[in-house]
Amino acid sequence: MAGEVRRKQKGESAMSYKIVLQPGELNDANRDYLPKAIKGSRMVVNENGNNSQVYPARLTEHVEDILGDGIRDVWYEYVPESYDSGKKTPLVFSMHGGLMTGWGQCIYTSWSLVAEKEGFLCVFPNASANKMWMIECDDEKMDEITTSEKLAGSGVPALNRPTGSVPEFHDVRLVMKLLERMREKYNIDETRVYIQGMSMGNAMASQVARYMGAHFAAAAGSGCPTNCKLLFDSENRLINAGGPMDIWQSRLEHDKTPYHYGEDDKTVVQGNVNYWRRLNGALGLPEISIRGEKNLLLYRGDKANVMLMDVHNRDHGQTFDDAQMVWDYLFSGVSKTPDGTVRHAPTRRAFRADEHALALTEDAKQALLNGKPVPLGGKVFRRDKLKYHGLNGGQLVRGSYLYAPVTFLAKAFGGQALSDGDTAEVRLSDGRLLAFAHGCVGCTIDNTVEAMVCEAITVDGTLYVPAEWFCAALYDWHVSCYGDTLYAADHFARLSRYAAWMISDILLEKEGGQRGMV
Amino acid sequence: MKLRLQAGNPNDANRDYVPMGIKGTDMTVNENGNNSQVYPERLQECTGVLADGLIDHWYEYVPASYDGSKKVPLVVSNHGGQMNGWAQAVYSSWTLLAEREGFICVFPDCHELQMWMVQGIAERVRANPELVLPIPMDPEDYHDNHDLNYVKALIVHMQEKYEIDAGRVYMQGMSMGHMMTDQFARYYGDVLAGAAGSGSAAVDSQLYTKDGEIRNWGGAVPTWISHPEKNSMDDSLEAENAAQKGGREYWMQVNGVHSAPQIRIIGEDNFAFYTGEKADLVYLDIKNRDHGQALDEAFYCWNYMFSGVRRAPDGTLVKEKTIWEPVGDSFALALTYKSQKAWFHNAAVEMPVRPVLWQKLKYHGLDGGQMVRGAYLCASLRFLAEIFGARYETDEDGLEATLTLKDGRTVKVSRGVIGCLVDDNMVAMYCEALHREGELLVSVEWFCRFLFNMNVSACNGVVYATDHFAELSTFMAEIIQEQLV
Repeated sequence: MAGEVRRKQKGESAMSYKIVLQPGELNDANRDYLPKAIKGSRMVVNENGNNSQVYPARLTEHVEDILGDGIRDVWYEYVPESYDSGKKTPLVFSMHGGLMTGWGQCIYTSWSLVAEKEGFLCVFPNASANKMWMIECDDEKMDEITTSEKLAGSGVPALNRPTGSVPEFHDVRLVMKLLERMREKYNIDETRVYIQGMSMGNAMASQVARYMGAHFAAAAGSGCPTNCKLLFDSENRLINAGGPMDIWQSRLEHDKTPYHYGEDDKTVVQGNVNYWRRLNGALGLPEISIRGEKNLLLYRGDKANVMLMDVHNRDHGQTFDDAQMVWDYLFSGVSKTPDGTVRHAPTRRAFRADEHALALTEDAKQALLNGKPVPLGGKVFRRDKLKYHGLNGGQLVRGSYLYAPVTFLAKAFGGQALSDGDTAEVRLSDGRLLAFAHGCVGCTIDNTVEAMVCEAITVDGTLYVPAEWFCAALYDWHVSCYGDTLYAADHFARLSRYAAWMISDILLEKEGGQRGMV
Repeated sequence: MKLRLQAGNPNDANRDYVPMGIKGTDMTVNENGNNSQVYPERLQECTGVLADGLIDHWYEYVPASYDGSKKVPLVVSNHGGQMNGWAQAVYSSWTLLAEREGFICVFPDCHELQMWMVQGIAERVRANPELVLPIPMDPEDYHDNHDLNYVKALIVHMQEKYEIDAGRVYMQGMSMGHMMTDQFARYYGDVLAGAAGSGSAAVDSQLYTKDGEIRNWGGAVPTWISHPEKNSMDDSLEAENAAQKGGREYWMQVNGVHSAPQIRIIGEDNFAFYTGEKADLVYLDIKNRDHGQALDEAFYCWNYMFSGVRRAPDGTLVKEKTIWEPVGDSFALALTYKSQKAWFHNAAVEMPVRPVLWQKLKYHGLDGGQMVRGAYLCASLRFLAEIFGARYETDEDGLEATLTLKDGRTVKVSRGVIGCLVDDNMVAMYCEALHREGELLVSVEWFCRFLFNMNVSACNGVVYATDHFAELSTFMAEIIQEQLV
């Protein structure tokens, strides 16, 4: 296959296969979900929810009444050049979004590229009807969401009306039949079968995981969390027939939960995470890594793990490197034995929580320092910086900052608190001596006055300063905020919406009140 | 001497320019143009007749260390309009600095209406009917300008009263005090070793004759201009920039500045250090700051400039080592889509192709509409490789490229694809790689942040990347564009 992968040289192992990104021909004028002309061409489109790659030459289309029920199903297989029928090979199902197709899902992800390098197989099925998967629905909303007329103006396409139980759905049976077919056709490692989906494909992947999970070691998905009413019964018990499995949930900061769920974004996303945390026995604190725009929270469980990835400034869809990350940090290290036990081995890339990071939340009395909760010796508060000169009594907010005790901050960075109160003095680990005074925007650093972004404030005998200023101005840390939460790290990191909500709940000890928690 | 910041009693309800309750108390106020310190105990109110037979008021600050045994510098600090001398003392940190350095400060009240008599200002106010300000009428001849005469006499008075080093007299002012300082420097700059101001600009009619000749009687003076980014003293950003540029260029001519500045951005403080044949010029633009002066400006001004300039007995300016060296950022890169030149290592360098300001769009589900989710400056990957010391290899068409970074990492990029390969791992960039004039372009923000953990800020079409916390401000972006466009 020309152009996609550097051929293995004599004596090299399969791991020597390299991904080659093919240059595409940009279609910037496109405004469709999936321009048909991409199929088989070099066209690429880029949108802030989905970005495409050049159509892979090795992607093969298959059409067949595979279930024998009169429906001609379509699916796409991707077999990497390195495939060796003498070796057990992992398999990844990847499910397209609503109104899309299997080949669309292939080019809107990097699964085929990762498959080339890692040597696994992919299958990208088409939904059998209306380009929409058959997924179970909330009974109360069934008529509304399966009737086009009733959805007019909502921007939501009508769902296929479910017939029978979930295992009886044609699309679910199709997945299971394709698994059987792939096993017949290729040397599939039955302990390493995974499923992933985007948008409605995520809802479908979740459905398969919850009902057919025994056959899959892990499931992943991006956008479109599942309706919590399908996850928990009226008594908050888990609805599950598939058992524990490793889970990866990608969320996009600008994404919105489908309106017919009747619950807000935070509730639904937390409910989805907590469903799997409970099932997998992963109710402890997450390990947090925020690198660039990717916010990752890993909950390690007794039975299986749960990863939440929240992507800053991203719209509904999936990031192009989602597949790479899912594989590297989750799929590559998990298998499921025939008795349903999830086993972990080292992943291709080891997940490393941020080792030098600070998270603060308004009103919290504790912080997350290098991933661990620590008492602040006070309570975080917010203070606005105002302009009011020349505004005839009016005012403009020019900055809004979270304040933390300066003695806590100094110690967090390895320094010493020398005094505290209306004035405070700290010595940083590099020897710098800083002094602060209540009500004064200036501090002294080694006997030189420097203006902070906002004045120091003493509350109950403890002097507070803007934490953002302390981390950025004194340590060149990268600081970002979302809502009531601040995240500062020694590397480039942008806190995103759902990650901020999760951290906030941890610091305010509100996790127990989240959707789905016991 | 070790500085001691006194704890204040913040009056957050205050909405006045200067609440009278501050005087002599521990009240502090904080506004995004001016922040106060606790009223200094050693500040002394003085009254006298120094010029033109008129009674004037001023405030003297003599540091605890002063004993008259040696000559010390003098700093004259001029208040803003509708303010007064003691307010300028609490709204600046000159008194704190005076304690550290041992110099004496004087904070004059202007003579009338709490507004300085500034040549040309009455005409400017009359030209704008919306301005309803009590302005002292400026005389035809500047020799009849009482405030000029009074401040000049005040310097002499201080020299007579204290042991002042005549070669180390400096002046600074805020807002209208900046105008007064600038005016004083233009007429009597030869008595100053340095002049600084914040938040204003000279009355433009006073800078040049109708024939375009410089109007100046004081000669070259080391000059410091501070400008809060949200100063808004003019009707528009363009007008504000023109006024700032005008003031800057005036002193560049007078001081003999003929070369590009060194640029340094530390946090919200954006410095342009200009070196002149006769005297230097510093321009400081402060990010997200409103009209006024920052509490640390006195220290910056002293540490970077005043501490290293004086006049010899013959009036010649002498430049010595300053406390802080006024140098640009050691590693910084600035780019704009308006130029094929980039700012690197404090000089303009040519790139293979002009950067493109590229918008990242959301359009799915918008019925043909679109939303801009990000705007990124995409620059030549070949150029970025060069300045970061990476090896750059490309295919014949230039559609694919591989960088080998100094630390051994490889980065592979292909046209139209948002993903790149970093050491064979797929990584999504901010936006797809572009291809222009045979060159691959990638987001410089992404490149600097993700590959080198650098701090990147963008302002008005200019991107500034450096190895420390830095926020590019509007008017520094203009100065950078002056160098590049």
